[in-house]
This record gives sequence, structure tokens and C-alpha cells, in this order.
Amino acid sequence: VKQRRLARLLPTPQEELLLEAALAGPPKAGAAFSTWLSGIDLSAEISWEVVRLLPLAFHNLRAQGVDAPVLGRFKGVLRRTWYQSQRVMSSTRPSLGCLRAAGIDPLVLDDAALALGCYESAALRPVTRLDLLIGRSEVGSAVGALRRDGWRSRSDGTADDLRFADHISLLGSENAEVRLRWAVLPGDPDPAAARPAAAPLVWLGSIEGGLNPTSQLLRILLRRHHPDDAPSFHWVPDALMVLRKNSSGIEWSGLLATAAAHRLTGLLAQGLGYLSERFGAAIPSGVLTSLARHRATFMERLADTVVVSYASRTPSSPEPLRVEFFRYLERTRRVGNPIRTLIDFSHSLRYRWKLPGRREILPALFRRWGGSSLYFQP
Amino acid sequence: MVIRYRANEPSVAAETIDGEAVIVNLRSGEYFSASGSGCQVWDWLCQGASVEEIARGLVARYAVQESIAAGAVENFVSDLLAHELLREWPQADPGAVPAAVPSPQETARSEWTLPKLDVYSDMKDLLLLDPIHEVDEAGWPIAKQRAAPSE
Repeated sequence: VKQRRLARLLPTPQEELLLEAALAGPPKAGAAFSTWLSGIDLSAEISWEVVRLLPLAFHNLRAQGVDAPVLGRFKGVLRRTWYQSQRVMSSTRPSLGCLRAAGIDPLVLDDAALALGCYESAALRPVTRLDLLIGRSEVGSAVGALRRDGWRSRSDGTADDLRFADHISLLGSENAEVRLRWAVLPGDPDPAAARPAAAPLVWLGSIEGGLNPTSQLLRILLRRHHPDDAPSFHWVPDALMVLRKNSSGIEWSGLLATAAAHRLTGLLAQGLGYLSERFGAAIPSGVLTSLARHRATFMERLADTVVVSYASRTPSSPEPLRVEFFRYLERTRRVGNPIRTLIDFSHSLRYRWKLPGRREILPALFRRWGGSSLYFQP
Repeated sequence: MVIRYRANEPSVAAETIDGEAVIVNLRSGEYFSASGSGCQVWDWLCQGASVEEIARGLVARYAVQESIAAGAVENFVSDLLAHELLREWPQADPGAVPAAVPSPQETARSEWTLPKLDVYSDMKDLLLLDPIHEVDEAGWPIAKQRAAPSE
């Protein structure tokens, strides 16, 4: 994959210094930390993306004997991260029992699975919500069961939800959030029919089922461009921790085949190549050689364009139409008859913008962007 | 009779971070911290060591008499029980001394500090603190120009 392709998915030089402080060995970590510190004004506003990596940086630097007064504050961030993660996990955990009582056996993925299974500490990887994988056919009954247990949701798990969204969010006490998902990657088979392998997670003395490391690695590397998530460099520590914790547990052939089936081998190649080159991740040379021959697909080039527009938007501005279209394409993974695609996309817009019917789309476009979006202006 | 304890899971989560035991009572939301000998005592308690065994372990580690250490551990355990962080473990084998507790001759002795549990109950306020800008060098939950934590 050419360097200029997908380049915005890679960390900036400043982010890379912090990543090295958090993930590299001695003396590289300490040197990177000193350089990073000299280039940042800690009295100024610091982004959440940086703050959330400070616990891991503290942990890594302290283990290497690095000492600096500012590390006390980093330790404080670690304490708070741990506390907040514990509160989130405690508030959301009853949803697992509720779903089991309804005959549904969810798999834990993302935040909690990574914190418990790979980082082995909720202090080092913030847990902001509980993501659960269930079958498509189970979504309606899962939402019903959780609602009866006091969880609140605006969605019912309707056919539209399953067709045009990739999760349903439920809120509990203290606004704890559970997200029900029905695919590891967009377009995957129904987990109820082809359930991904589970990996055991130790959670406060009990064993829960977590997503297997191969699927989790794919999810991290192939969703870096996802429009729901602002581009972030946190895929680097997440992927690296999965690899370090499961050095012999990754099914590389399955990983390559899944990326190819999603036409996202370029994303995989770039991600694994970066982890190997910059952080010495243990990736078989045959895998890297095979990936090096890959050329970026249409979807990957589109992702590159979409990421550019998404990254540059301000939080208050509506999503560009091309992001909406990319979101649609990625979910359906289908560009067939253009008329049919357009009709289907209009249904997607109607759902996503919560309109009563598709006739409201044109007025909604004018309301959102004064008509400029008709020209796909970002 | 030898009494052994364990962390009061699943109501309690705890982790040792850089020589400090951080503990949360998930029911009350209170946050606790124990460093120095307190962290060590918490670790041993969670591994099933009795007060007497811990006192002997402290004598091996710190310049302290066994009777003083035993009294301090008893007070510390009372604090932990009062906050429901610890519970008795009747199923434990009373004769099984945890391997992690050192024998008296094992290690060099360092300066003795009382095991102490710091309690932070005003979590709503503490969570509003900016963990970078509104704390001193000790880090969150110690606010700038803030008095010692409430107990």
C-alpha cells in the first residue's frame, strides 16, 4: 500500500513519541518521553486522546525506572482511569446476567475485553461502556429484557435498526452504557449462526466469554477508518497488546482471509506493517510478505477520502454526505445496480436522520447544509 | 483460632499500582488507597494470611516489634472490615501460610510506617477535578491546595 494512501490513519510524530513512551522498551521509551515532554505544554488544554494514554505511559516508564515529577500526575490519571473503569464495569455487568436469563449468551468485546483480557488492568485501558456481541435474531428480545431490567433505549431492535445501524445503545443508572452489536465487522454472518470463538475473561473472580484475539485484532485494525470513531492513534496500543498477550493465539490465515473478504487488506497491511516496523510486534514474516504485495482497493481509497473529510469536520457540523454514503457502502459492502443502490441509500438516510419518510430527505439536506451538500461538499 | 480474610468480591475491586493498593467499594462508590506497609498488608490479607502471620512478615521487612506490628495490622483490618472491603474466609486452610509472607530472617528491614487506609468518599467532587491541571504532583485524587483526605 502506497505511503500516501491511508496516511492519516497513522499517528503523527508527536503522538508517536507518546506511543513509544507507553509501549517501547528501554532506553527508547525514556528518550521518547523526554522529547515528548519538551514539546508539550502541560498547563495548556490536553486532548482526551493524549490523556487516556498517560496511564500506560506511566506504567511502562515506571517499570523501566524512569522518574520525573510529572509522573505523579500521570499516576493520578491512572488512578482516576482505574476508578472510572471499575464504576463503568460494575454498572454494566448486570446486563450480562439479564441477557443470560433471557436465554442469550453474549460475547464481551472492545473496551472491557481489551482491558481485562489484554492489558490485564482497567487502569491502563479506559473502559467507557460495555460492548456485547449477540445474534441478529436476538436483538429484539435482548432490548426487551434489558428494558424490563431498567435499561433505557430509543431503539427497539427493529428491522430498520438491523439494516441501517451496527449497534443499539442502552443506558442504565449513572448513564452507564451497554451497546448491543450483531457483527464483529460490517456484513459479517449473523453471530447466532456463526458465533465467533470465545476467549475466557476473568472479571471480579468470575469467567465471562470475550471475543477471541484474532477477531478482536481484526476489529481494531479494520475499523480504524470507521466514521463513528474519530481517527485516533489508540488502535496502536490496542492491537499491540492483543499481539503481545496472544503471540501464538492469532490465526493468521483466517485473519488474512477475513480482511480480503471485506476488501480491506490494505488497512490490515498498513496496520500490521506499522506495528512490526515501529514496535517490533511479533508478526510472521510470511504474513508481512503476503500483505506487502497488496494494492489498495476501492473501499480503502474511499476510506482514505472519507477519513480526511471526517477528521477535518468540527463536532457541531453535520456529517458530510459522502461520509453517510461511505457508511452505507461499508455496511452493505455492495455496489450493484445504481438505481437500487440509490433507493437503498435513501432509506439509510431516512433512518439515520430519523425522518418520517424519504420525501423529507431533500428538505433535510437544505436544512443541514443550505443545499451545498447536494454537490457532496464536505 | 486462625482467622483468614479475602477481598470482598464482587462488591470490591482492587489493584496494586506502583506500590499502592487502590480499592473501590463498588456498592458505595468510595475509593480507598493504601501505600507503604498498608499496601503490603492488603496484599498479604488478600492472599489469605492471618494477622499473626502478617505481623511476623512485617517484622522481617520493617524495623518494628511484633506486638506493635500486630496491633497496627488489627487496626488496619478493622478499618477494612468497617468499609466492607474485606471479609472473613472460613473455608481457608488455617495451617496454610501464604508463601508470599517472608520469614523473619529473609530480608533487610526498612523504616516502619503504620499501615493506613486513606478514604475518599466525596467522589462526585473528585471526579470533576481535571486530573492534569487541578492536582498537585501527587496526582488525582489530591487536589491542589487541598487538605489531607477525609477519613
